[in-house]
Amino acid sequence: MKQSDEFMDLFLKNDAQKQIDKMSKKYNRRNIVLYGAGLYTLTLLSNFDFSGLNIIGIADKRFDNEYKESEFMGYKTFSPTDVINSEVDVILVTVLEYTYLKEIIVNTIISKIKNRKIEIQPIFQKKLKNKISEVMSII
Amino acid sequence: MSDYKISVIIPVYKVDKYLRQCLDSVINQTLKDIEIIIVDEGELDECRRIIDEYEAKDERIKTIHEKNWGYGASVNKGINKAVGEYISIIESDDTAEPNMLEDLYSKAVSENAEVVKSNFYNYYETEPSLCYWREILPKKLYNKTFCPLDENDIFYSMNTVWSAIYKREFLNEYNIRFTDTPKAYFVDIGFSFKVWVSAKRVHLLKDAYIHYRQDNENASVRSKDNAFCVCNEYRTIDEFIKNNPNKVVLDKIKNKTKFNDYMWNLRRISNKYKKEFIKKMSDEFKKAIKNKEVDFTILSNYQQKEYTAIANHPLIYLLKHQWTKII
Repeated sequence: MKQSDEFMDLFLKNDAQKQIDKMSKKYNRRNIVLYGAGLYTLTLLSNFDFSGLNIIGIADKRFDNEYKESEFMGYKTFSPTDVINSEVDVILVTVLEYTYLKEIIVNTIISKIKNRKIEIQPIFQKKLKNKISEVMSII
Repeated sequence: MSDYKISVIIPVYKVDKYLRQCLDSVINQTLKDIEIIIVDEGELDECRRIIDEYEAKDERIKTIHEKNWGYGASVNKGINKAVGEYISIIESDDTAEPNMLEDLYSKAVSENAEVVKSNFYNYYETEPSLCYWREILPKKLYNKTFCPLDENDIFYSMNTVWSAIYKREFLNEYNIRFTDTPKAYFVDIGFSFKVWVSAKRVHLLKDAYIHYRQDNENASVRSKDNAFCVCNEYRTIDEFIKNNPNKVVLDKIKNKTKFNDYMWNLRRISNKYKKEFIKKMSDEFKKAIKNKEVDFTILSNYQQKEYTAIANHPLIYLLKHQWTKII
């Protein structure tokens, strides 16, 4: 199975569009940066409707060099430093390992932004029943 | 002494879709004084037909055909057969920029380096937006030749054995080879560690040359099995450093790389292996703490927390990890 198909399977199983629509309502008019510019983000952006979110750019450490592309999937690219200097209100993490990356984002970005509160969240959550069945499968 | 400046070793196993691109990129290198050793895992399949075709048209190509050695054993066979001054290992689903070997070799000679290593490009055949220059080497180590024991950061960079060249005499002097037991995977871990432990002169290039394919569905890195191969690699490292005069320092470095590799493995493997694997992590971490082999000052705050949580409460950690994990 292709990895993008695995991602799609996961997104569909967990009602990704419904979750994106909820986020659109919750973060109405707030500036959003998606963090993660890999296959996960590409699969999400290619298959779901994000028009309700005000996405100002895509961030990734891969954009932290002089060879960086200026756009990813039609969105402006941000290095971690660019995020610090942007008007971001909410960072939505679009990678598999949310907790691991959250720690890095807090250390490299959030801790350096003064006088402004930045929210950080995974782009979507697994359904509770799916979480429980996964946890049960390893006990 | 051989006239070949570099022996390029290409282990081949079920890559018929990509093999021509790989071989074309190697035979068309601007550095011409190379031997190309194709180590074929031996099926009478399309790969064999392609290899025969290239062997017939380029006299620098030598092939070894034998069944089911596994990656490590295959590359070792290639290294043992090689006569070039330096060794390059190129994966048969990747491609190299035409000036790769010339640039790496000229730097190796001018710096009298045992190892010259570069960055690489992420490569997806059908997704140009996921192809990019990937910087994995520590920025502060460019443009100088250094000893890894003095500049430990290189130990913590990604184990891309295929974006480097190694002096053949150096590999032989320290008996540096891959784990070659059947079904050994992730053998780049042990190989890289042994290289950094032994090398005195390493040079890093900021440039990238290899296009590292990310969409090969057969790549071992995508497998959710082989849960304990990574532990085997650390056993070979322990064996390699047990009599080293710098063992105290090396143990501390090893325990940091081990933490990173075990965490990667824990994320990668199928749920059915996780419980057993994290118990093993816990046992090894506890033992390392007890023997004062862990230097918490070289771990980030996050790593310190994770390390002690896994050592002390592995099952609780695992359940939490699984709960917060998105996939």
